[in-house]
Amino acid sequence: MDPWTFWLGGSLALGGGLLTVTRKNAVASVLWLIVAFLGMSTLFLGMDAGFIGVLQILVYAGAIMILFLFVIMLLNLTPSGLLRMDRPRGTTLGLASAAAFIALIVAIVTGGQQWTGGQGGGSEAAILERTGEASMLEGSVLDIADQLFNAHLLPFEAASVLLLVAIVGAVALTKRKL
Amino acid sequence: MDMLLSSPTLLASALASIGGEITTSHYIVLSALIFGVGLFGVITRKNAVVILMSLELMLNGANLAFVAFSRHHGNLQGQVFVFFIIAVAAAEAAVALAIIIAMNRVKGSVNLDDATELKG
Amino acid sequence: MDKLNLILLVPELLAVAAGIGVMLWDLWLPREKKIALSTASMVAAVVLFLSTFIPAVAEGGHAMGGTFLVDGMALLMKRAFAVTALFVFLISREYVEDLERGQGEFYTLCLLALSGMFLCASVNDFMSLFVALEVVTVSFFVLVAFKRRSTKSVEAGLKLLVIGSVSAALLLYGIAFVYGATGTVFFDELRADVVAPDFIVSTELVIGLFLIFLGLGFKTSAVPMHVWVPDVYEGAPTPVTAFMSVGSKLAGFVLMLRVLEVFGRSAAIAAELTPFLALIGALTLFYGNLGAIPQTNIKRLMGYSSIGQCGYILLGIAAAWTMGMSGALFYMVSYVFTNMLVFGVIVYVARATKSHDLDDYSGLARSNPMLCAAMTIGLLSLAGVPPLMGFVGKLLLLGSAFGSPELHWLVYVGLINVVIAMYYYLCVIKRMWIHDARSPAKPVAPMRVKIALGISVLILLAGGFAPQILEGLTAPAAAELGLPSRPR
Repeated sequence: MDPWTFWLGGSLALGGGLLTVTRKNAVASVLWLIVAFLGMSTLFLGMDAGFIGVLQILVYAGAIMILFLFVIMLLNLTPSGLLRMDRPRGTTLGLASAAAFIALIVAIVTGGQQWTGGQGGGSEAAILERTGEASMLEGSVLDIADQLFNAHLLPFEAASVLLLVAIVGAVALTKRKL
Repeated sequence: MDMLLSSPTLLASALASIGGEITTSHYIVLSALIFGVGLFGVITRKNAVVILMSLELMLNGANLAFVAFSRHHGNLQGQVFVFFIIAVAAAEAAVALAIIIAMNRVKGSVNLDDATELKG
Repeated sequence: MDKLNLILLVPELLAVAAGIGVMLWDLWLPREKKIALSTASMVAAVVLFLSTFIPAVAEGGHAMGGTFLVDGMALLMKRAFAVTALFVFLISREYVEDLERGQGEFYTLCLLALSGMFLCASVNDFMSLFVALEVVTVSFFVLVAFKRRSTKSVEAGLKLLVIGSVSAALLLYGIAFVYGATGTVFFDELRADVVAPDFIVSTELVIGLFLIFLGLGFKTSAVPMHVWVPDVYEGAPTPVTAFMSVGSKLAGFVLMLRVLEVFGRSAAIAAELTPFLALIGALTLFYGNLGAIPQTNIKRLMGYSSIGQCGYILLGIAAAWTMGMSGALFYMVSYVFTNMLVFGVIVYVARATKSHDLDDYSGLARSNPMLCAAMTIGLLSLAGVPPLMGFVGKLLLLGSAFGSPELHWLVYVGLINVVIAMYYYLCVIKRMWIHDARSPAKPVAPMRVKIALGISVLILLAGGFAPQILEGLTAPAAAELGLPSRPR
């Protein structure tokens, strides 16, 4: 856990996220979201989660975001639709609930001993001491595949049903002639 | 409640450690921030496409927490979970965009505030 | 433990196969013969119901390396889901016949949603829980927006989508915290861990569980994740509303029971969860029952009523001991027949009058006495009038909450709400029997629906007069769950 990877990836992810939700133009939002995903990917790679880091770029930034761009172009959102953005009540409510959630989690995480530095906690040395060899797990394709097809076969198969539902559903909702 | 009130000082002390050692809690605080930003977007924005993007941001906050915990515990379950979250997010995005297109066809708008047919 | 044991998954596999089969058959059928798909789906639902009685399945056990569990609760709920689906197929035949397209897709999505519900009943780790829940949720996103030319339907789909996704994210964040606090997502390991003497109940774990219950509360329409219910119930096609009000709701409840069963073994965790769930239950009861009073649309009324009914089941879940679980299971089974009875009538009244105004029900006693009687029995059972099944369910749930002294206030809240609910259900009943008809429309139900409604009425009466029959099924299933057999 190189500190600078964390701060670089973290600021990219958070900054990109903030810009995503505040941009008036939906296309700009998509592009900033891709920046945020690159930041997330940096964080994953920094944590030795190689496969997930690559998936993040391939699937999220690559496939899902392109789908979003396609839809935005397809809908041909008019500039006026893009420029009118906030509801006054919504902003206060949104700020309040987001702040409450963040405050709650931060208070719990930093108030507890479990994940912060110190004995048996979340520091590098403590993790290494607790997990030993296991902390060297690379999160490579092989390791993940081994988990997927052994311990987690059921959700894997269920996910295939989910994808079938999504395909059938998307076609049923949008195809002009069925 | 007093834990909630003291959270700004705790956050400040966490930020003061820039350049110092990065612990699991750093990642979790960051994930909470990203989740919160997404939540803010979902509540404030009215363009359905942007709301969907904010939702993806919320899911990413959870993803970050999972990977951090995966490292924390030295097992891969968290990373495998992220794999499923990404798959589910893709399926959800496909259906969501289909609904948005259908909405645009019947109403000519994708603003959630224009969805007024159902009151409540 | 490490065996695949695929035989246990037969109901799930058959449900997926039926969904795919209907989808493929749809391609070959000419337009005028599509109605065969409806018959095929009904047959599939019956076969799925029977498949839970295959000896190897009914015996129960673990499969898929311990991530799939068949126990008494899972079997009971799978049967309830199959019956629900059968009802939905029975009452949706005319609706689907009128669709200009997508008939095969409608049944495919219903059957795949059913496979997701089956999975929900049997999940034994957090990953399967999440994916199974999403199979159900995503199917309903599509089904709710299925009338894609209708503004109401698409809007309802969009609302469901936004709130459903937010709650899925909350659920995930909660699971992340539980995983962070315990280091595993497998329920079997968690069951052993939480009762270990050196297990520390950390704030992280408790907050994670709170978030999980909030996320599942979306499916069960518990406050504060209830906001979509009235709108979506009104906007969705009526057969889908019926399916959602029972199937999707019970899928949420069975997951709540499962999570509670895993973590409630530890008295320390249960002590943290009980006040939280009790508070949510009380808010849900008041919100649903007070909100129902001013409604003038029967589907919105049923939406609020379904929020209120959710509150009662939460009473039993909050009590977190065997009687509460048994009461919750009993109530859920009776809810299948009660709500399907009411929706069966709503579908055919709406077919005649082309609207869902409460005014349509004035004078139903004269235009179709049989439907009127069925609706009356259904509403009385929802209200909890003896000697119907809903009364026994409420009694069990309130009794289980009464067992623990700290929940006595909740019992009073429940009793106040019984009175409020009685008021608005009786208003509808009075309208049907005493008021004069506003429209000349004469609702008619086909023979197969009449038979189904008749059987439901008989079951509601039998469940009221001889509750020990059903209790003989729910009590052992609840006892298996490993929660304390005495109130805490």
